[in-house]
Amino acid sequence: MDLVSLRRFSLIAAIIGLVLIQLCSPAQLAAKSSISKLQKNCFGSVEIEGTVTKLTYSSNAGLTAELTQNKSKIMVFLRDWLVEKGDNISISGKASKFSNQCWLFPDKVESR
Amino acid sequence: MIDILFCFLGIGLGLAMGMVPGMHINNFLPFFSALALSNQQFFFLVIAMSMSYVFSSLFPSILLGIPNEDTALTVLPGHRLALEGNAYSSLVISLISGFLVIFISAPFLIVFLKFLPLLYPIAQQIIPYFLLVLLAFMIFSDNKSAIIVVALSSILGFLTFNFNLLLPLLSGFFGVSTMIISLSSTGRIPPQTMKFNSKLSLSNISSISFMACFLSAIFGFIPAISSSIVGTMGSYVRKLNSEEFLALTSGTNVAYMVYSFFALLLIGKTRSGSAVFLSQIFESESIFFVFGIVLLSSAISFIICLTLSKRFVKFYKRFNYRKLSLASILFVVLINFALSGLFGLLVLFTSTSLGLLANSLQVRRTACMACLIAPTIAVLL
Repeated sequence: MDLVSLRRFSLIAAIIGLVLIQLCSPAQLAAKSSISKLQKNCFGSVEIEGTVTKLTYSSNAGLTAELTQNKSKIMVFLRDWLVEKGDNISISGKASKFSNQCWLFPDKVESR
Repeated sequence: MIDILFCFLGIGLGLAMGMVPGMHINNFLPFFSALALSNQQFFFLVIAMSMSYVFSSLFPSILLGIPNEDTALTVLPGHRLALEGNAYSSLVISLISGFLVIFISAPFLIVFLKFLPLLYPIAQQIIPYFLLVLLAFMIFSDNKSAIIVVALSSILGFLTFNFNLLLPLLSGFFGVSTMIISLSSTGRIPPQTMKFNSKLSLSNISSISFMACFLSAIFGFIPAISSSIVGTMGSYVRKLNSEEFLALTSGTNVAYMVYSFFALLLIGKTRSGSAVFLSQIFESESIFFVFGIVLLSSAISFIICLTLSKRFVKFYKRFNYRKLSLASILFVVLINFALSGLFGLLVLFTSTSLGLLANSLQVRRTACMACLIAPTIAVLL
């Protein structure tokens, strides 16, 4: 394949790939999710897009925290909330979009 | 005394994991939670495993062109040098640079003890603007087509930012695209020089290791700035040839791992999977105790990897290059499917296309790193 054909082919393939990623992105499923559950031993973050009205967090050790912000995009690090080993964590809030990341146990993150 | 045996166990595990293409210690760390070990034993095990992993992961990226999340930038110069018959020298340069970083990081440690808690908040505010400048520099220092690669890579970065998809992104940009281009080459792996054949002297490598330490010290503590981004910065800060770039990226990987342990101990921040794991059990371990484990495990790993380099290169040159590239591509596809599913494969396809596009437009492949830099700017601003 010559350089021009490779250029054309790779550009078209990249654009098709980007469109497909946008259409198939799992993030679309997360819209209006209300709770993300992170399993024990998981240090992760929850990213929330949209105007966040209220965000609460509670651990099974009885810790609770509440966060209210009106920023369009915030990143909440569970680490900063002193999540401890063995905690089961649930996060609830209202936002247009939730997505979660878990650094150590990505397979155990569940959304509902 | 028994505790130190965990250091050797960690070295063995790290070496083995680094040599399996696509394997990352972060996939393995969760299993350690089930072990009933003392804090000291955990520190020996995890730090030794992390350090030996950083050294041994150079083998698949340089010889096979299969990167992991940390060695993505090592693939390009490593692969190029291997095709010039200098695979052995590439490995030696990378190993020496990484090992020197351990010693150079020691004086930085003293500076950190004094100034890091003060500098950290300031650096955090400046970084997004610095990254904006870097992005602009990526576009304007290259040919006109660089803007296409930077723009499309940034879009890909934003679309995949919420998911842990670094492996398909980086293996597409730097691994699979390189191997596809190599498929058109002659079938045989060129004869390999089994002696150290490099223009780089020890003092050259030392100065690059210093640069790796310096850049990692400034940026390594900031969330979202990966070692690949720091490697990219370095390549724009100073004009580097393939060997120098290889030394820089290898040094940066080692420095990042070392500093991730310092960051945990000094400011309580976690910058690697290993540090996250240790943060769960961290009580009041001394920074000198941690540095001691780093030094011991790195020295042993360095010697083992250096010894294995020649044997691996001898083994490597027996293969048919085209078949080896095809097998590597297949392996990358399978590992990405296993770890990230069909969505990961879609990302791999797109990043490979962008890697090929950068190559056909004769744009520096590091422009693809915009996929990490652009979303990082958005998060930090």
